[in-house]
Formats: sequence, structure tokens, C-alpha cells
Amino acid sequence: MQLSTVLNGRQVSLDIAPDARLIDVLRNELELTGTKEGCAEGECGACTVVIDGVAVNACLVLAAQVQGKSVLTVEGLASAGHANALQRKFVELGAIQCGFCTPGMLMSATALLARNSKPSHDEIRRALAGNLCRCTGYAAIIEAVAAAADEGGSAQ
Amino acid sequence: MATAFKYVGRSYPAPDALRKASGELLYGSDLRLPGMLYARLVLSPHAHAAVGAIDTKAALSVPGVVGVYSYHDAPSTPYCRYRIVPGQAGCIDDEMLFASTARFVGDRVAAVVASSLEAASEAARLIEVVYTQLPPVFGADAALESGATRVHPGGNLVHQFDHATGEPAALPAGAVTTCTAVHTQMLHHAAIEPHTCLANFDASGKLTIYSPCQSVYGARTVVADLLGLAYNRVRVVKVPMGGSFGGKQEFILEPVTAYLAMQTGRPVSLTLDREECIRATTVRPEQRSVVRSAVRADGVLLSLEVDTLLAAGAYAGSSPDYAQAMAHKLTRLYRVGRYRHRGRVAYTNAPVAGGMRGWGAPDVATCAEIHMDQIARRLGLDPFDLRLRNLVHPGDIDPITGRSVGEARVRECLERGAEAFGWRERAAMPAGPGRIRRAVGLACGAHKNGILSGAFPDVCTMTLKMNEDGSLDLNASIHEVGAASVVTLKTIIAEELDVAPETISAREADSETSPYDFGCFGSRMTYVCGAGARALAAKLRDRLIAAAAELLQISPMILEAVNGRVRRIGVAGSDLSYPEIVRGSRMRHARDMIVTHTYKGTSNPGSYCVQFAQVEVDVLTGLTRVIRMLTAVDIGRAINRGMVEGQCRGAIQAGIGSALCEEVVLDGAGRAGTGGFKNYHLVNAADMPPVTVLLVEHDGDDGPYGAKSVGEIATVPTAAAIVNAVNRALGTAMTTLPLTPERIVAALGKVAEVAEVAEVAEVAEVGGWDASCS
Amino acid sequence: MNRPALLAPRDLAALAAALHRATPDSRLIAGGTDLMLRLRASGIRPDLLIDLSGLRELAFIRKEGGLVRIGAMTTFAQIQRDAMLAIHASCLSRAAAHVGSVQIRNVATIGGNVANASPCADAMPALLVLDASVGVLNRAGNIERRPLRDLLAEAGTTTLGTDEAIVDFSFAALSANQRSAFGKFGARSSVAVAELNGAMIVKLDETQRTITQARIAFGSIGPTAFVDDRVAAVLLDKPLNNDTIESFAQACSGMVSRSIPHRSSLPYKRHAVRGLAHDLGIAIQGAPMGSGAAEGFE
Repeated sequence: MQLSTVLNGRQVSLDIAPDARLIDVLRNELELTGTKEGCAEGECGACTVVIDGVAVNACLVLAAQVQGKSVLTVEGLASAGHANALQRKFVELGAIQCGFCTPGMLMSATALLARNSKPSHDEIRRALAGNLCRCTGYAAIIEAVAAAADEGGSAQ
Repeated sequence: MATAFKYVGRSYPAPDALRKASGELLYGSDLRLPGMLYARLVLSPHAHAAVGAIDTKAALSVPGVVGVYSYHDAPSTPYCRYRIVPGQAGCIDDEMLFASTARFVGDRVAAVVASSLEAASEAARLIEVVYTQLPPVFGADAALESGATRVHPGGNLVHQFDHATGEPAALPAGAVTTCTAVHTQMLHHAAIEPHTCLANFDASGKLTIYSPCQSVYGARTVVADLLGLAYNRVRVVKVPMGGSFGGKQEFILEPVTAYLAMQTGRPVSLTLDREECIRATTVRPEQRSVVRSAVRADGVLLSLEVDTLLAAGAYAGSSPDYAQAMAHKLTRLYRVGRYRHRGRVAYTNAPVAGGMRGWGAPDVATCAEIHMDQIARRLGLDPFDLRLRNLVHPGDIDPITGRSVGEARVRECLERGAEAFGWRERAAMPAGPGRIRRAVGLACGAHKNGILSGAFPDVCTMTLKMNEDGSLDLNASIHEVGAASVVTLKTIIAEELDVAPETISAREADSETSPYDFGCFGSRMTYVCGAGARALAAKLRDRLIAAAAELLQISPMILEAVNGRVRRIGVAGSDLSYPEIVRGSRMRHARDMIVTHTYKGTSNPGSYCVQFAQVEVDVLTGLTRVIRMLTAVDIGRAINRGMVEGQCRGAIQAGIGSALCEEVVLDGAGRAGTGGFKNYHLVNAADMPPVTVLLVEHDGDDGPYGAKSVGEIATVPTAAAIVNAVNRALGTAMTTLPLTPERIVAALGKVAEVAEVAEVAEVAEVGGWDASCS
Repeated sequence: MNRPALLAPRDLAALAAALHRATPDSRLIAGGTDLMLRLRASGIRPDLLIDLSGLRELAFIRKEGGLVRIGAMTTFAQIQRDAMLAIHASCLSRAAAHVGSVQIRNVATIGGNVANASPCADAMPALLVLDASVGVLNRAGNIERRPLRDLLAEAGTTTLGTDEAIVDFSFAALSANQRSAFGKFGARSSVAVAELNGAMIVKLDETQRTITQARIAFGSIGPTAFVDDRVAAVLLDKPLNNDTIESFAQACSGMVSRSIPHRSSLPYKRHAVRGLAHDLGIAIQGAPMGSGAAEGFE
């Protein structure tokens, strides 16, 4: 079937299988491998993307269901090659070690800051409760999101 | 000991951090090669079964399927997934590419290769295997009973040893003997990146393997030997890794992926799903241990004996060495006249055990530190005081190895940590009579730096070259597992050469182009490779100075290298920049500013950590919350401060999980990992307590700038600190991990009814293994 | 490989038409968080997928007089954030907040949760104590109302036919002298499958001190969630205080013993349910007067 969606700000049309998962369409057909697969069951959050402003696990979304919607992946955060505030803070504040959970974390944080521009540490923790990390112990990630919020969130 | 460093001790981002944040960095399963095929494994659903006929007709007719392979086609040469060096002692070759006898649920029986993952998955489901089930044996103790089913023809005892130091002596009057039986569980490493491998066998007969491994040379050894290829026809490239924690140390996917690439002549990509990762890679081994001690009335240890029974699972892998490694940990931690450690390793029809972060040190520290708290309770001592009475001092000789423990600052970790944590005040508070009980616990741990032992080549060869503009290229077999080793090495070189770290470029290991390094294990990265990098940089500096001397026609004795220039000591304006030296020296004296150095570790001091935990336990639901933790680490010198702290925090996340909620459970049929992360619970951001990291930096050992390891040591005493806190909170003596709500409620059931508890009462282990404590 | 056909109805008439074509091998997909897992685990290829996500008219939360109606395609995130539900159906509001993670709540729907019928489904106990009725659309385009309990069958199944779909839930809004609560615990404090969950509604007399009516439902104990009248009876005509809650807790233990006498998890659940009972009791006692709400939400 023909899927039309706005992906990272651009209109995209492509042919997909009706039962394809969104994560597979992103990583294979669209070659956007920034969205990672960690568990295929919506538990680890590594595949988090933002659909119409809300964070979802791409491994559990039928690609057909994003017909006519807007999808934001980690590749869509930077503009003209410049990392946004969230990405910069993750880098600067030690929120990245192996980096595999990073795209998912960034997308969950993006959705949070769009809804709540000055979240408390507790609110950040709860918003990221569905994103597992095995390297950092989370503290630096929470700090990075808070610091990005102070700087004005996802705005450049 | 105040030393001012220009670069060492600051905080630097992980390598490629920006590329990780942009989604641009390619991990193993992101790689695509032209003509690439996808593989899916068919894993045994039975714990023990003879593999008979395999009907591949339906599978082969799925469009896109290229081939189906099993033991009927593949070489049946047995190999060892743990082998790193040729001829390595302690390696048992008992595993095949595809099993003819399936020995655990998850054993590789067949593989499908197809042009899409979907086709491969579909075909895998259509393969029909005839199994003849055999009686399985679960549990190491059951496996060692006479008459038990043999997992391998040679019997189930894989390895055993009995080491002792000192002499058993008569106990003085007033001495107290204590015995503790502890059960530590199977754990999943739970790196967020699943296991993956890509292999390509080109028309010239050259095999290339792209793997997130911990030793490219080790992978080469196993694959080349198995498939009969010359070592220089097997190239192993270390690709970015989404975490390992030991789970990607053994060569699990490389051999089969390489074989499939050879058979198809095309690139083959194999990525496991989460269930397969839990079930069919490696687990931390399940163990039952008994710790016995004799102490003086004042708590000083007189003797310590540990008896460990380790379940290796279906293949021996690293288990013999893992069990041995456990015997080398406690005498680095405590002064004790008599230490005896008996270990037995048994085959079982269960997932294969393998190295996990800490490599036995967390396992043995868990037993020992729960035991020490039991001693403290019996003697009416504060756990803090009992430890202080027994911990090693700097310079003590470890009786097991005969080597010095080096600048062992564990006592300082304990004292400063207790002060910062408020140990005395918090320990004095009662647990409370109500529904929520609160208490603190502590535990100490020791680990090592490097693998100096004679059994392995603890060597690292590196090359450093300076370009005409003064920028540098480091060529070394670096295996980045997420702890920013690349950055550590660059920082060390930068400090030594007095150049900015950003001017140094480094790539990860490639067996074809980067010189030999044993691999990223054994806590040797900073201590050995880092020291090697420092020596390497010093060598380049000497070469720059010698070249400058030649160019300037003066003695090198009066020259020094400062801030990217070589100058006469104390004379301004009489200098040459590094770029000038590179160009001038090459042009006029045909000399290149490139050095190679092979560094060999010559010492192996202890690394130390003390963990402090405060917990709250709900005596109705059995749920435990860790509400704060403090870790004090004897780090020697923090090279990348932010990363050192980050490693400690990650280690604590895993330690809390191993204490309270992580467990790979086998069902009645020997199946593990069902449901992936739904049933295997990791501590998430909401549950993670606030953690204070206290670094004790007292250099003096051979590591670069006095640095010691951190990645593993921070995991060592974590679980024990939490278990000790829970037992104090409840007045229980639980020794079976994890302390799930069910186990806590069961343990409480043996204490007086909740409503009537007035005093703390001590109870025996509930439902656990205590046969050897009688 | 046979791909399923895909229909994406945009209104109820189209949905009814799609249901016409459904066979036992067809599947309805709402948010997808349950179905995508089931399909992957079983390897089953449906002949037809009916995608409900385009049915905007089924994503609504309304109060019409004394009746609350929630569309089947309303997500748990929407339920969790709705101010009216926090007052007039707070047990459901709280249950929604406990479903999975943010990512799950953003797509998982109340209709999907009920249709998937997991024994641990968090919405079930809340909907049962609210005595919800379910609007079921059939292939003829008619919507029939059934009590929720009539939909319950063996674990993981409902009595819904192949050609039927849930379109909404309705129940009486909680009044000023009613209080409700939801409780749950699992292996960790958040993002966990329930080991035990439960919901309760009590009605108080004019003095707000004595319980005149009580309704309790539990989940994750048997194959389906259920209302337990025996436990509720313990609360009747009793003062709303700690002693009453303690008796309630004991009664809950008895309920577990009755429900799963042979299950290995019995000793644990029989004890731990007292924690759930106390949590519910604290929440009910803490609710401000006249709001119906038992506790705040994030």
C-alpha cells in the first residue's frame, strides 16, 4: 500500500507492506537507522519516535497507522547539521556512553519538552521511565534534559 | 598529593557522542553491504535432545531464501567460544556450529539465510526438526549426583580446584565460627543493543567480520581455526557497540555468521532478538556458595573458607576461568591468615554461562559481605567497625598471588564514604514498627587491574604518528564498550605530549591494521593500555626532542617539550614547533615521527569500592525501594572524571537489579528468557535512587598518572550492600538473590506476625540451600 | 508470503462494512501495543487487518448529565489527563496513569485493553467497579449495549464475535458522596505488569464518615478481573477508618485464598493483597470531600 506521511518535516510517499512495523519502514525502506531496536516489545524505548507530538514505540506501531500523520525521528532533531539544545546537552553533560538508548531518550525528552517546557526532575524521570539505559544510571540524562529545558527546550 | 594536570581529571564526552546523538553512528545491525543477506537461527526448544532429520523443503520454497544449514552440512569440529589466544589453557572445545545433540533450550540447531529478515523468519518457522528428547538435568548439584544425565559424554564435572593459603590453626578461646550459604542467580547482561554480527566472504577468499566484540584478535583466533583460514585472511573489525557488560566477550555469533558468509559467498547479517539474547548468548552463572569463617571475639578474621558450585550451562565457555577468578578476590580485600577456596563447575542443560562485568568478583563479594554482616550481628558489632578491623592496608601482600595489593585505599573509601553517607546516624535509626521499614547497609569489594597472571599475554602494542600539521593518529586495537576508552587514551597521550586531546585521532580495533592487544577485559584498559599509551607518548616525545636536537644541532639534554613546541630549557624564543620538527626531520634527515611501543603489564594492584545503601521495605507488598546510595571508589586517578562517575552510576543500576529484581528464570522445561524485558526487569529512571559518587584519588601504582580501573569494581559490592540493608530492615537473613517481593514476604512469614513485631529476630534462610552449613 | 488485506474505516458505517468481511483469522488493531506483540509471538498472519486508528469519532470523553461516555479509541494518556474523569471516575483515571510507560499510554486504547482481555489489564477492575456498559457495534451497523462483565471469558479472550467491535464505554459518573481509588503493584514501582491490581468505589453517608455502599474489583488474580461482593460486604455500614481498612485487608486475603487455592503464587498474593487494600483505603480516606477524587495525578 501507499503510505504518505510527513517525516522529519518533509512529505514522503512510499510503498509499504500493509502489516509492516513502523520501525522496519524507518530503518529499512527509509534507511533511517537512528531509531534502534532493543526488544521489539515496547519495553526498552530504544525505538521511541514522536508521532503528532507524542512519544511512541515504533516497534509496536503499524506503519499504515501513520498515514497522514507527522513523524519525527532522531534524524530530524538537528537543523542544517547543527545539533539542537537537547543533543548538545546530552553530549556536554555525560548523558551518552554507549549511545544505543540515546535516540530513544532524545525523542521521549523532545515530546516531554513540547508539552511541558519546565519539567521538574521527577517529571523528567517519569517521562523517561519507558526508556531503559544500562550505562549511565540515568542521572546525567535527567540533568541534560533539565539543562536543555533551561536553555529553551528543543529550540535552536 | 596535589598535582596539576592540564587534561587528566577533566570530564570529556564519549567518543562520537555527537554522532550518537544525531543517530548517524552505525552500530552492527545498522550496517548494510551490497547484496547482504539476513540470517535467522533455529534454536532448540528442548533442553536435551538428539537432533535427527531436518526437513527444509518448505523453508527453502519461501521466496528469497538462499539456504538452510545445520550439522548435516556444517563442520562438526568442536570449538571453545571463550578462546582468545591459540593454545590457550583452560579452554574446553565442546561446542559446535550447529548441535547434533541439543544441550539447552536455545542451542543452535539450524540457520536460514534469505534476502530479507522477514523471509528468513518465515522460513525458520517452517523448518521441521525431528528431536528425540533426552532427560535433562537442571541445577549444578543435581548434575553432580551420581547417575545424573550426562550433558557431555565426559561427565558433568567440568572443573574443580582447591586453593589455600596459610595453615589451619587451632582457634583461640572466644573465637566465633559462622557459616552462610548464598545463592546468586543467573543474570542477563541486558545491553540495550542486542547481539549482532556481519560477515562477508569475498571472491578472493578473504573473510571480513564486523562485530561489536571485545577482542578482534580473539575472534580471529576462533573463527580462523574453526574454518581453516590463515589468520591474515580473516579480518575482524570492531564496530560501535551498544553495551556489552561481558555479554559480547565470548565469540557467540562470529563463528556461525562467518560460516554462513562462506557458504553463500555474500555478506550475511545476524541479529538476535531480546528473547534470544537472554536465552542463547551467555548468562552470569547461577551459583551456590558456602562461606565459613572463624573470627576472634573482637571480629578479626582468623580464617575464611569459600566453597562454590557454579553451573556452567551447556558448554564450558569461560566458566572454569570464571570460577578460578573468584578465588583471587577476597585475599585482596581482607587480611586473613588462612584462606581456602574450593570451586566446582558443572555442566547443566541450561543457558551457557559467560563472563559478566566483574567476572566473579560481584558473586564472591555478595557471599562474603552478607557473611560479614552476619558475623557483625552475632558479635554485636557495627558492620563498619568489623570491616575496618579486617580490610587490607596499602602494600599488603596478597597471599594467593604473592603480589602487592599496591596503593589499596579501601579503608579510606570506607571511612570517607561512611562520613559522607551519614552511616553512624542512619545506622542508629530504628527500622520502625510500621508497614515501611527502613535501614542502611554497606559492603566492600575488591577487583583488579589487568590480567597479569602468566596465563595470558597482558600486552598491548600501539603506534602513534604525528602528521605534518602536528595532528596525531593513534593506531591501537581499542575496543570501545561504552566507557570511552578511546577518550581515556587520547587524554593520557595529550597530557604526556602536552597537546590538546582534540588533535589526536583514534579508531577502534581492526585486526588487519591495528597492532595486537589482548582485548578489553580484566579491567586492563586504563591500567595496562593506558599505561602503554603514556609510555608510547613519552617515546614520541623523546623522538621529537631527538629530532629537534638534530635540527638545531644541540644536545637533546638541554631541550624540553612544552605546549606543542620543543625548546631549550629556560631559553625563550629558541624553539621549534612540532609541525616544524615533523617536516624538517623528514625532509632533512629522512626521519619519521612515528613510534611503536609494546607495553606489558607488570603489576596488578587491587581496585576497591565500598557501597552504602539505604532502603525502604514495604512489609505488606514485599517491595523494596532503594532510596539513596553512595559509592566510594579507590580510583587512583580519574582520567575522565565525568565518565568515571557515569560508570559508577551504571554499575549501581545493575547492582540494584541483581539485588532486587533481575533474574533469568528457567521454567520447568529449562526454557529461559520468555517474554524478554517484560519478565526480566531492569531498574528504570523512575526507580533509580539518587547516587553520590566519591572518588578517592591516591595515585602510586603503575597505571597512567596513578589511575586504576573503575568499570568493573563499581559493580562488585553493590548487591551485597542492598541485601545487607534489607536484612537489617527486616531482621531477616535472606541469602538467595534477588530479594523479590515473594522472597521477602516468605522470609517475613517466619518472623513474628507483622502486627506483633517488637524486636528484631533472626531467622534461617527460607527455602534456600543450606545443606552444607550443618 | 501472503500479506493481510488492510481496511482503515473512517466512520462507523465503514467499520460495520469492514466487520462484514471479517473472518476468525481477521484482527482489529486499535493502538497496536497488544496486537503487534501477539502477531509477532505467534507468527500468525491475519487475512485482514481492520485499522481502527482513523475512527476519530471514537476518541472522546464526555459527560452527558449523570452519564460518562468514553470512546473505545480514547488513549490512556487522554484518560489520564482528563480533568472531568479525575473527578467523576478517578479510579479509571488512576488506572490509566499506571498502564505501561508514556510511550504505551500514548497509543494504547481503552477499547484495545478490554478486547485484549489480559488478566492483568489495568483498566478492567476500574471499569468493573464503575459497572461500565460496553457499546458493541455489529456488522449490521447496530450498537448494542452489554454489561462489561458479560464480555469477560477465559484469559485473553472475550465473548465478542468475529464481526463485532467495541465502540464505547459508559457508566454513571461518581457523585459527590462517592469516592474511588485504584491500586496496583508489580515487580517495580513503574512500568510494570500488575502482580495485583484493584479498584474500589465507596459511597458515604451525609456525615461522610460511614460507608453505605461499596464495590470492589480485583485483577491479576484469576483468569479475568472480577467484582467481589463478599469483600465489599465487610465495608458496609462501617466507619471509614483504619480498623475498617484492616478488616477489609483481611477479607482481601480471604478472597485470594478462595480464588487461587492451588496457585504457587498464593502465599505471596494472599499476604501482599493487604498492601493493596491499605493503599486503596488510604486513597479513599484521603480524598477531599465532594470531589470523588482519591488522589492527585501528574
